[in-house]
Amino acid sequence: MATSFTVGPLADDAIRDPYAYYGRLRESDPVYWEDTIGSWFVTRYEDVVRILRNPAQFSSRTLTESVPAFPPIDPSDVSLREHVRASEAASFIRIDRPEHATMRRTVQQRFTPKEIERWRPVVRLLVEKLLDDLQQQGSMDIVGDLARPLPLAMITTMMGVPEADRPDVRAAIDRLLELRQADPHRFRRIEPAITWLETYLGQLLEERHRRPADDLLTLLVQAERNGVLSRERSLANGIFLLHAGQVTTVSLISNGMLAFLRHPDQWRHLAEDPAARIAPAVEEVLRYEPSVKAFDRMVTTDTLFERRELKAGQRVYCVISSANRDARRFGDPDRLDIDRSPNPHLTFGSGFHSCLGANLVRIEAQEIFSALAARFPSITLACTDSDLEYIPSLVHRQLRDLPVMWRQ
Amino acid sequence: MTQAETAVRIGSVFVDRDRCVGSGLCIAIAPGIFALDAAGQSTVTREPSPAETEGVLEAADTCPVMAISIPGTRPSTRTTDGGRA
Repeated sequence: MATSFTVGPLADDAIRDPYAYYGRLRESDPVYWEDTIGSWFVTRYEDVVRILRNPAQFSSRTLTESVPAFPPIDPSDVSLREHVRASEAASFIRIDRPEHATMRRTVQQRFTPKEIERWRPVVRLLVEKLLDDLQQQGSMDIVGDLARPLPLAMITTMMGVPEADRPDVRAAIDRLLELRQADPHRFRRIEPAITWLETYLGQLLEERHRRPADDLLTLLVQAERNGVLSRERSLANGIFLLHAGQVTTVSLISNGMLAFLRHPDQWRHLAEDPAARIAPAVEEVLRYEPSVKAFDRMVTTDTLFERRELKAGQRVYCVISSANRDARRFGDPDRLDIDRSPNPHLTFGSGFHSCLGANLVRIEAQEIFSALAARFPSITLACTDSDLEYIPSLVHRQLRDLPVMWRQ
Repeated sequence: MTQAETAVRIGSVFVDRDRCVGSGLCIAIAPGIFALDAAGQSTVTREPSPAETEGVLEAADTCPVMAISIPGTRPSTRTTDGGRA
């Protein structure tokens, strides 16, 4: 049984084209209360920055016990949801300063530009191998054949998850895509996935306690030993890292490829000189198709914001899909322009919760798009554009598949 | 070690080297003021001009490990005491 919405951000038209949906609101009602979700939605660039940069007024603790599930769920599933909520709430993305800094510090050292750059040859090799295997086919599904395997390989390698277990891990992580979807019974599928991941990662953490390795799981174990993380929290953060490292990159690669297919002049422009143009091109794809459509915050005290009365305990969605297209900040915002500079998009957020994995997703996208442009300058969509479907999530912008073809 | 012993201070901006892990975010936000040293940690290269103050405040707000401090400026907007879920 799935609840379907005919209005609001979960309605079909808003899922398909959030830019048009939120773009209208950005001009007519930039801070609005959305009844179907029970939250405020903020759509202008400057307003989004003001909220993300004011954590005292707008907390990241959006999943406290008192907050009901959203979209709403069936009352019989409340205990299942509570398990999932507790796990989500214990990851550092949901925690405020100063505790956030202590938790993030446990893994931050592995995500610096310098550290991530060392992975580039690994990424390049993986991309070349994936494309070598696909080249002769003349067609592929970007989502399943390319966008999923690369980030899965990277984040599981960095975590220290054995290669043989990747399919199981991926299946569990994929379940978490349902978190912000409408089905009131979704936690019947999500909760078993969380339980499986906790059991599985718990075993790996025990192994790292006995035998440390050079991976993120070992850093979590060290944080347990130092008293920074409880076991519960190190599991929650392990699950979060796997989830965040996978889902958002899959979306960026798929949505970015579709953006290029819809702007063949920009694809040709990239293909002419991938080495020189790939870095700004990836920033533009990040701006144009943010994988996370909106970040949520919780109002901590009653406040007047743009003449709206925001009450303590109310949820606010900062709509990145809209802020990145705000003409007050970006010239010709609905145009994909891979030479755009500067490009202060908000896809990785703003303030101290800025995306931990930003440098990793950058090199993954840079390597994939430059290799694709070099090999397949004539790539085209292998279905009708209107046949493409997105999963109906409030937060994730994820295509179900993206069939493409190229001349041999 | 205390912060006073480990912090690099130029003008009114501090980078606590016990905390800094070289995320590079401060350099992206305020490139003239912060730079990575040979050890991969952030250092303050010079005192910010009045026009650059906002960028330095943003860098302090953004530092994921709270290594940057600017004594006497708006601390209430940079930290909260919540988070003990």
